[in-house]
Amino acid sequence: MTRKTHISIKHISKVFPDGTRALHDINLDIAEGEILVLLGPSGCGKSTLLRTIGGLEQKSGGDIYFYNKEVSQVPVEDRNVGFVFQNYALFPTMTVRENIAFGLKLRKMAKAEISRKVDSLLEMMELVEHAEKKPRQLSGGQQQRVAIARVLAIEPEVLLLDEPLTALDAKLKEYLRIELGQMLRKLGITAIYVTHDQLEAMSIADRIAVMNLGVIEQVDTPERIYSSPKTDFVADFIGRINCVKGKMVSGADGLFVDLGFIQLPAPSGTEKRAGDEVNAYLRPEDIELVGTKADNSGNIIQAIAEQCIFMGDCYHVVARAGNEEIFFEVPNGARIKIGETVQVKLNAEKLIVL
Amino acid sequence: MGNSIVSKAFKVLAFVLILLTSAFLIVPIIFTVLGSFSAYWGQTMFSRGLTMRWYEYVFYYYGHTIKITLLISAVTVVVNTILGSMAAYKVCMAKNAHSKWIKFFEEILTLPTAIPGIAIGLALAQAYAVMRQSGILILIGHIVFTFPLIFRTVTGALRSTNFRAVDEAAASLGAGPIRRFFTVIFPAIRVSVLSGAINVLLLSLGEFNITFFLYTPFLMTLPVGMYESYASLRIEVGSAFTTLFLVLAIPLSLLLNRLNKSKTM
Repeated sequence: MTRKTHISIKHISKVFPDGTRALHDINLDIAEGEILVLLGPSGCGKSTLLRTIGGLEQKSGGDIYFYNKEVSQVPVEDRNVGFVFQNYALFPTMTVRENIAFGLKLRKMAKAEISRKVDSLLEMMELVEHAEKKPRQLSGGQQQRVAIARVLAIEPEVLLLDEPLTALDAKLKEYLRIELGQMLRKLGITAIYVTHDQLEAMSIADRIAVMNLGVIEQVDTPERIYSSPKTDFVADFIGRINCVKGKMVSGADGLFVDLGFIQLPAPSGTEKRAGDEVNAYLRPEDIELVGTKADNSGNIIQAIAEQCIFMGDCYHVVARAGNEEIFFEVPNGARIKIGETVQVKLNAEKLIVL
Repeated sequence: MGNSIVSKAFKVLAFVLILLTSAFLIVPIIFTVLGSFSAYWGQTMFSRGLTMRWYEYVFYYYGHTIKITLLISAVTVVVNTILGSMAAYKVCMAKNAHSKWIKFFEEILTLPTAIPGIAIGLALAQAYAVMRQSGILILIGHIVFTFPLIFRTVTGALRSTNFRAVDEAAASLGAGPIRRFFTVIFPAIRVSVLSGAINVLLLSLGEFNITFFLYTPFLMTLPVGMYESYASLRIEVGSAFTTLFLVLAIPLSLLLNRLNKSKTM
């Protein structure tokens, strides 16, 4: 499916008045109806980028296009973007109904039409019985639903969500994460979603842009971000992963990665050459405990268990292989004693070399 | 056991201290009010009976000072309520709210309360001597002196909740700054604005230090007139004057108290 580019960000940079460089040469295309998640640790510039796209911050350089129109000089009032904030930012003196109607009144819509539209949004967001309440009488989840109804009312060109679920408690967050993702998809609205929570990002995004220190490290589907990180930062930031220093060597049948305790075949398509120092990454789920009777055919190593931590659904095992420490998970049934030598199989196909 | 006796003793002591302090402040005021109705306040207060003539006297000779004070205070309140709230809104919502210029601006604004009124009065009188006759200088003095009061009350209110995000939300829904202020922000902080305005009014009504250096015989405010009556006329006249002032000020400060209570609830 190829979709028309909706938002195009070209060489956007942002330097705050105090000299902090928040964004550095950001380039990003977002397709019509796409849900793009900006993911990164706090202070990486993801919120600043979102606010710059929406017009709450002024860029220092570069251009922002909505379709073919350069919008960076258009004030936020006229940009027709819908912001959803972490702290809901509802109008405290207005009722739920008045909050939702706010943008419509500004657009000089007829009264009857406003009330019809507000009613349908109240229904959609399951807020009907709260219509006449003030924001402070609502729970966090309800308040955020009001905030979403309020932006949807104006039918914004783009929906910009800045950590919309971060202020909610864990259980509600999980529930709303699913609900919100479904809703955004159903609406088919172009959405940019900022979060520091990977699970949220993975479950909601069409594509994730991982940001760090004001630059985008990688833009890809959640699956590819997880399975093929392009930079050390992304590999380390997304999920849990083993990292071992290694060296590329040529062997009899091609290129290998020498990890000291084992040589694994290099991933196909790697740009590394023999002699390169590399970081080799392998996720814990790609390390499997195998019995001593297992055949010696593939990439099996011996490791000494150093820690074995009960996690409820599994054990988290830290083991020493050569001079390196690796970690992996074993099912509840498997009993591993500390100091015991275990045999594990490394899934070389999943090896990431950067 | 011992503890409860000690704490009881402390409570009694605190109560007595509060009582004494209050009495120290209130008793002279009661005497002043009573004295204003006394025909002759000598050894005893009412030995020659009651009278209203000191009030007639004040109204006759100083009526204009009351009018001038009311006028100046009214203009000061209106100007500062608008300017102070707007400035506070502007400062709190500024994109670069933590920039050193904004901090500098805020510090400048607090100067009038830090500098003694006498100094401000003298400085204004010397620097703008030409404007003195028109009385505009008194007004400027009052506005400058009371501005920080409302500015700080309103910035405090604006910073207590995250009004910045609320403001941004309103902006993204299409509201310009003036509409945002009046439909979204102001309704939420109106109690603070009102209490700031009353503070300004009280301060302006009773302002003496600055005004003393700026008044002219034709443009005298109530507190200056009050001082003059105490300094050069009978004590009963001064008392009547004071009583009139209290009639203006006490309801306002009671209202202010009530507002501050409702704000904290």
